[in-house]
Amino acid sequence: MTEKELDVFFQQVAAYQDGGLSESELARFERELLDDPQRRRLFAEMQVRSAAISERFRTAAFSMGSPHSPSPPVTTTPRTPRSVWMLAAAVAVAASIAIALLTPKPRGENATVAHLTPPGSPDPNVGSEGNTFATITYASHAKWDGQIPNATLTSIPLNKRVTYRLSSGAVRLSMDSGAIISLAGPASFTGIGPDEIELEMGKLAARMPTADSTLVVHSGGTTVRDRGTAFGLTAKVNGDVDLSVFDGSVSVERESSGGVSQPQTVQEGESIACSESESRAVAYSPEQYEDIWPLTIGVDEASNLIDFVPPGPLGSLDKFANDSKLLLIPETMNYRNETKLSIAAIKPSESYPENRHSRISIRPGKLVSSYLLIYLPVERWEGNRHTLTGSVSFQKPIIGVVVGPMALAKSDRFFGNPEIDYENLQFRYLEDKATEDGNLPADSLRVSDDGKTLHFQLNVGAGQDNLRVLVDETPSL
Amino acid sequence: MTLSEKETPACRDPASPVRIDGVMTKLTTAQTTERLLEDRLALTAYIACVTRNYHLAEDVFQEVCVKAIGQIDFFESDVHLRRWFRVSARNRAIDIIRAREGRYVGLGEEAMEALEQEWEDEDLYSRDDRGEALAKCLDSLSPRSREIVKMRYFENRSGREIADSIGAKIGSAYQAIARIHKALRECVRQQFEVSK
Repeated sequence: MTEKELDVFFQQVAAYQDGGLSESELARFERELLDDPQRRRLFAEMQVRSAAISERFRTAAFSMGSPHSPSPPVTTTPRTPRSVWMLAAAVAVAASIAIALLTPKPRGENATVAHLTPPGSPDPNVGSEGNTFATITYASHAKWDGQIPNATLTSIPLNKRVTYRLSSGAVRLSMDSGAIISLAGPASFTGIGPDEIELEMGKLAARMPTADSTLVVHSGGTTVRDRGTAFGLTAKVNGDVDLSVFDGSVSVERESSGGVSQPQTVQEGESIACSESESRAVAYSPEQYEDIWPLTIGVDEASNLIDFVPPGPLGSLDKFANDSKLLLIPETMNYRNETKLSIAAIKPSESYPENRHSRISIRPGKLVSSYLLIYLPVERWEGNRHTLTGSVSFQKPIIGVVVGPMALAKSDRFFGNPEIDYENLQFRYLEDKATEDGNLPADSLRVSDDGKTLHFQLNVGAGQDNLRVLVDETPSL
Repeated sequence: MTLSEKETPACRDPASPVRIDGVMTKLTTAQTTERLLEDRLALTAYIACVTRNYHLAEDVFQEVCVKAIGQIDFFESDVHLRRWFRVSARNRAIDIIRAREGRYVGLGEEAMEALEQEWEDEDLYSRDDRGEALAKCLDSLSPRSREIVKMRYFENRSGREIADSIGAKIGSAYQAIARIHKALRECVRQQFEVSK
């Protein structure tokens, strides 16, 4: 292979890694790999080198706590055979284990919002003032029928009276009324007004972040009006609608040949199925909304090691016990703090345990959402050791991450979920040094510089490691 | 004496069955854990052939690790473990991508099978000296080049975003990444020669 061919091949691999090869380029790339052992070797080496680069930067970010360093400090301790062995020894005694190394996602895997080109829209990429109904605030692997994706990092408004067709992936919209909606593809929807949307087909989950937020969803002959709620709605192509109410209550009206029905109230923890002829109660089934619920509650991305509690009444936490996962529970959403609060917490650009004595101050009137990350092992025994590493990214910036026992207890009073008995959670704090005779290394956390991502490496044992993430819900100007 | 004391991964044939005191045995949970930790980079790199995203590849690695360590008295050798791991991880990665994006677009089965041979090569697996050399070479890059690979492989930014940040077309971003890889490859090679 000549130098020139080598250059071209490396560029092809760079494009392949980015998903930037067209179908024909991909076919050619694949053919060349099949025909040429040297190319296969170079490809494998480049893949391993890329993984090693990723790890070097990650190690630097974690071990240094040097947020402003533009480059990875190569003097940081590399993973030596000894440290690998010690880590192996620490975890090998477990009956089962989650081996995890930091999985930061400082940018979303697909944290771009596609510019939409709705058919028939004269100025498709920019919604004109007064003609919009919502803004896309996040898109995950979103593909649109008949649209030309054009990656941009800015949120974009959506025009009223334009039908948008999401063929796959998921998006989160912020309605002009303040309501938050997540939609999963395939879905087809049209904005009618600042608090009104028609879902022709597909599924959505909605949440009203404040008492002022309102939302009306039309689907087939069914109209759902919120009453300070969270709910999920699935519209089928035949016009049938399934509705589950996660929080509060909604009012449902059905239109049929006989006219409009009397409004029916559906309460939290209830589901109904509506067709042209009837509306009937069915078993509560929030599961179908689990995939888009994290977006709805303001979580953009999370490692696969994090499970989310399904929307709706929480019930006993025991049913969520899992030896190899963390559980994320939204606690109080959009809580308006009334007094000045000072709590020990890790701030953006800070790490735990290095900054374990940091404090945050929350001024009166600030809007805050709280999320509890909790490790709930199935069985609590001393030898039960796991390393859980990953990240979670929020829509809004993190104010602080509360980890200490006193700070957790203090913040329970303001941000706790009334359904959780926090006093029953045992050993809920993180450890800033190795425990269990040195077999369980210290926990570590880092909040990204932009404050939106929490990276964690939790070495968990018999206790229920807890951390509370407080997020700033102040509306952006 | 434990197996790890008797036989370090560097001196034992990874394809040979595990033997303790002449008796053929299977990898213990501790040995499986140790091997996976040692092979982590190479296996993550293999998964990234499918995911094309190193963070997602890490997630899949972690998931399959949990599965592997649950397979008690199953793996007969390091090679057996690696093969099993690659197949499981590949399938899992494709499942995740299909669930997220509707379909998997990437290297097909035939190409992945061909690449399997590369991942059979012991040279591709953990080498701490290589890691050290790469660290030194990363440090020798220009700040701009370092920023580009940081954005691409740590921050998971797309080629388009990198192109925007350097004020260039996407092709130029790929060209820049390719040049950096070439420079790092050459630098690591030189580091090895110096150390010899």
